[in-house]
Amino acid sequence: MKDIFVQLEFVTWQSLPVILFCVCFAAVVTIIESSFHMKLVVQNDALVPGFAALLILRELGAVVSALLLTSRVGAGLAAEVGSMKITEQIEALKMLGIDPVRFLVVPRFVACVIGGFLLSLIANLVCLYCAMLVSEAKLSYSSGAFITSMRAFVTFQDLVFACLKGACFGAVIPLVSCYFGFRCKSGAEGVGLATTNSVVVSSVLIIVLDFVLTFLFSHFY
Amino acid sequence: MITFRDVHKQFGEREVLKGITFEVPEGQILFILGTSGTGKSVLLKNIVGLMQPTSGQILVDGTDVTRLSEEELFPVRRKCGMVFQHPALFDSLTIFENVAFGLRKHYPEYSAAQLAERVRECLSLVYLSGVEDKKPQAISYGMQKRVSLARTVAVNPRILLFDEPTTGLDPVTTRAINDLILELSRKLKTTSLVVSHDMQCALDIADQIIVLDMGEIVARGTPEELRKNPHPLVRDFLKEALDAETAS
Repeated sequence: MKDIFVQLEFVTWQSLPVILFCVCFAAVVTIIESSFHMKLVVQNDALVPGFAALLILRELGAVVSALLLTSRVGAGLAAEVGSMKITEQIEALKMLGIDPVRFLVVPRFVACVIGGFLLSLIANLVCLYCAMLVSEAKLSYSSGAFITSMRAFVTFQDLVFACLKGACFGAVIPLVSCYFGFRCKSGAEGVGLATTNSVVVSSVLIIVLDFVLTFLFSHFY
Repeated sequence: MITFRDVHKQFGEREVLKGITFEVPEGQILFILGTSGTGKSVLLKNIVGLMQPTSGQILVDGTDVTRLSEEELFPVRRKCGMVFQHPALFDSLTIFENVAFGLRKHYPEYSAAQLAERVRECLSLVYLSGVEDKKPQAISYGMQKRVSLARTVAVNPRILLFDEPTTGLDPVTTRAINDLILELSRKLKTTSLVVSHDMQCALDIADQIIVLDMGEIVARGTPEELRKNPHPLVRDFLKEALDAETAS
C-alpha cells in the first residue's frame, strides 16, 4: 500500500506542473484557432466556446495529459526496470522470494490508473478555465457567456468519459513500460532502446485506444 | 546435494551447455572455472530456475528443478542464496533496508529490534559497520559486493551460489571476498558453488574444481588432482595462478 502511495505521488503530483503548463497552452491554441477558422468560414465565432470545450473534454485534455505522462512516467519506468534487469536486481528479487511483477508492476499500475483519472480530471478543468480566460481576454466573451455556450454543447458525462479515458491511458503506460523494461537487453544501448520503444509503443497505443474509446462512448451520447 | 544430469542449454543455434553431468555433495565448495562465455553463469542460474535447461535434469536435494513453475521454485530458491556478478542491490533502498529485504519476507515474525540485530550481525560477518543508513551508490563497489553477500546469508540459505564474486575488484578486496566465501561456507555449513576465473582462489579454498570449456567439462577433481591435469586450458589457468603466487 505504501508503494502505491509513493508511486501515486510520483505519477500525479510530480507530473501535475508540466501537464498543467502544457494543457494551458493547448487551450489557448485551441480557442484562438477555433475562433480564427470559424470567422474565416462562417463569419461568426459565437459557437467557439462550445466547440472548444467539446474538443477539450472529448480529446485534448485526456490525450495530451496521457502523452505527457508517457514521456515522463513511462520513459522513467522503462529505464528503471530495464536497469534493474541488466544489473540482476530482478533476479535478486526472485531469489529473495519476491514476485517482481507484484513488487514492481502492480503498485505502478494502480498508481497510473488512479493518476491518469485524476490528471485527466484536473487537466480538463484547468484547460477549460484557461480557455475561458483567453476567450474573455481575446474574444470578448464574458465568463457567463462562455459557460452558457459551453453548456449547450457539453454535459457532465463528457467529463466522466474524459476521466475514464485518462484511467485507461494510465493503464497502458506501466504495462508497456514494464514489458519493455523486463525484456531489456544488456548495456546502456539496451536501456535506451527499451525506453524509446516503451514511449513509442505507449503513445501509439494511447492514440489507438483513444479511437476505440471514442467510438465506444459515442454510443452513449 | 546438487546433481546435474546431462544438462544441455541452447540459445537459438548456439549450444552453451553440452551435456553437463556432475554432483556437489552437501557442505562442499565447488569451483567452476572457465574462460568468458563458456556457460558458467548459465549453469548457475539453471539451478534456481532463473533459466531453464533445454534438456537434462538438475536435482536440488532430490527435487528436479528443471520443470517447476515459479511458485514451485519458491522452496528451492528459499534454500539457495545467490551472489550475483553485479552487487544487485536495490538502489532506492538503504544498505539496512537491502539486507532486511529478504528477512521481512521470510521472517515476518521478527520484531524491529530482532530485524536490526540480524542486519547488524550479517553486516559484521562481511566486516561492515556504520554503513546501514547509506544508499548503495554511496559506498565502494567492493563494499557493495560485501553487502550483497550479507543480504544473501541473512536469510540462512543452505546452498550458496556465487557468480564471479570477485570480478572487477582489486586484489586486496578479492582476497577478502575469497576468505569470506571460505569462512561463511565453513561457519554456516553451506554447500557452495562458485563461478570464477580465479584458479588461485580455487586452489586455496575449493573442495572440488570443474573446468568448463565451450560448454563441456574438460577437467574435474580436487585442487591436488587439478594441479596434475594435463589439459591445456587447465595448464593455462595454473600457469597464471603460479605466476601470481610467485609474484606475491
